Amino acid sequence: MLFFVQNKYNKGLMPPAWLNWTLVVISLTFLAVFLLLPLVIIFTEAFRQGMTLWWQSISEPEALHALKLTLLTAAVAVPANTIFGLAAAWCLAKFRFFGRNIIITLIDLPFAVSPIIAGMLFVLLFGARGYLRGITDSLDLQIIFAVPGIILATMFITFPFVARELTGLMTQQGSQAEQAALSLGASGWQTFWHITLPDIKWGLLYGIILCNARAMGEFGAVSVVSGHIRGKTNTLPLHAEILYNEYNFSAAFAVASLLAFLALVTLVIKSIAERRKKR
Amino acid sequence: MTISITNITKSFGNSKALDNISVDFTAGELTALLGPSGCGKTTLLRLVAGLEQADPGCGGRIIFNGQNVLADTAGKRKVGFVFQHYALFRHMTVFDNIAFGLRVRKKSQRPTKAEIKERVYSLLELVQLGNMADRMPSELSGGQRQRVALARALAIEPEVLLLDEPFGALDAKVRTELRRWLRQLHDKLNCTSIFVTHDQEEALEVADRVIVMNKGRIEQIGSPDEIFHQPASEFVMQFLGEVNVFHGRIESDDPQMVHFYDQTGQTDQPNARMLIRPHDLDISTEPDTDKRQIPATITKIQTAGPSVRLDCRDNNGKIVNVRISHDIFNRLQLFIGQNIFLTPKQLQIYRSGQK
Ligand SMILES: Nc1ncnc2c1ncn2[C@@H]1O[C@H](COP(=O)(O)OP(=O)(O)OP(=O)(O)O)[C@@H](O)[C@H]1O
Ligand SMILES: [Mg+2]
Repeated sequence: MLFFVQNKYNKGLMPPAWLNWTLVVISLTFLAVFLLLPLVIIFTEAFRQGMTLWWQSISEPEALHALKLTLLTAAVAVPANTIFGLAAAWCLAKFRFFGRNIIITLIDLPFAVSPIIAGMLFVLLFGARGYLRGITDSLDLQIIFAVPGIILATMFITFPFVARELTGLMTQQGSQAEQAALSLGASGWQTFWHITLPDIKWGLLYGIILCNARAMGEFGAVSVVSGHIRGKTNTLPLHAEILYNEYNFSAAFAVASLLAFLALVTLVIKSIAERRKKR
Repeated sequence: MTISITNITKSFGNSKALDNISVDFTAGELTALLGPSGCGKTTLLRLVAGLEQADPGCGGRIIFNGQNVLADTAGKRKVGFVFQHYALFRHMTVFDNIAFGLRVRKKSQRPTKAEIKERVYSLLELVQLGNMADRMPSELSGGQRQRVALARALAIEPEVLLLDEPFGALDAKVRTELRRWLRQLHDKLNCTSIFVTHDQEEALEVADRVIVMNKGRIEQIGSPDEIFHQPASEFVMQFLGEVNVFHGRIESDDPQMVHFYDQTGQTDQPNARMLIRPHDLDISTEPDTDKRQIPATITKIQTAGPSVRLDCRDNNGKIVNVRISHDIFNRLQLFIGQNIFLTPKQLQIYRSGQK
């Protein structure tokens, strides 16, 4: 700070031009090497052998099945975590109660532990000698190395997104507007629908998008619980890895390009949501 | 609507925001809740509105027209509430804000679209914002937002109107205008209104009755005249304007037997305090045989303003503030360093804070 203030180039509190440029160049180079370059490589590799092969790679039955499973997982995990996130954020933002801080910390847990550990946790619970195996067996339910396990692991990994995004937003907005609505005779549901939701909708969308991106892209935790059964328990990221390990590079990159495309769409929606949220 | 509150206590954690409050509000009156920040004004208002629950087990009651409403939700009590920070719905236009209370009604009680429109526009007319129906709250000034909040509360035709520091965030001139307007509005509406303020001038000017609160308790309830001229406690007197405080002893129950330290220099412990407002001190340039005179020296003269303000120093070095009219000031030809004699016209004596 002292440096900026004393500098003779300073106009107001701007850093000098050379420092400005150095910082810009450093960050842009970093972005290009670590973010842009991989993206470009994915797409060039994917299309290296032509459109036809790309299409074949992503339309063969195993790839299609992986795509379907990925979409199914997201279709269950995202709505579930949206509802959970809304409920949790509501409680945390509008009420002060004993254990509130513990819950806030717990919500961050999936971010704090490695996804592999998260996956192992489910194996420990539902695996061959798992603690809850008795219950699932009596229900004739296979969890590990099956679709339910994948969905459970994904839900665990992605549950903080909506809750975290909304807790901050709703705390900051307070509950005055809701109280005004209640005192004007609105029911709890009307208040939520007409007052709470419009105020948080962009933040909510933002959280849902992040949650969705992670749900589709999750590798570690899903890898542990899935068992990599082709055409059965492979999601897109797992499928891409298998193809890659089999030296089937163009197919692997074709699948990867599909994921990257999903990510790009997500980013566009996200930046729109972010801009709206700020207003 | 008469409102009767008995034995209401409200705690947050270990601290009591309201400590066994009992008070009645007469139908059609405009009452001011006056008190320093944090004394529980907002909490009391929120309890009346049903936005806060009183502590259970204290036997407290809140009665509207003979009916105990303690168990009723905020919506059921039909109370118009204007929040300290407006709490307008940010994503709705002024029109939608005001119409909200009508639109959320059950279908059987909901007015038609045309009726809602008519009602909203008449309310906008009432709060003098006729041409602002399509604005967003963010496009309004503070005073305009305040009036939208008021119109929104009035839309549900409440019989009780609660206003939490309605003019808190406004500048002095707008405040004065708005509070007079509020008084006229109240007279037109025929509802029981309670407004919170920590500005004593506002309370005394507008209200029929003033309730002075301190630390979760009621210090005094009375008409503005009573509050100002017969403050029940030292706190009320201090809160209602500038005062000079003198320490003294009460020797007997005869108030003439009060000895004042500052004057007599006695060494006994003081057990009473005499409070005198700056404008209740008469000035003379010659001593009088009257024992109650306080000799002092003028140290500062400030003539800008509706009255002249003198800073004086008495024999013990204590600063005494005096306010006199320009006429008297000119007649006496006062100057800095002059020795004068102060005679209290009116004073209040309190023993440990009480009369
Ligand atoms: N939700 C709450 N949780 C904890 N304490 C609270 C809460 N609301 C109020 N209090 C406490 O209760 C006391 C009274 O608060 P209240 O808001 O009624 O004061 P007030 O008289 O309206 O003050 P102000 O003039 O600053 O608005 C304060 O000490 C405050 O800290
Ligand atoms: Mg308050």
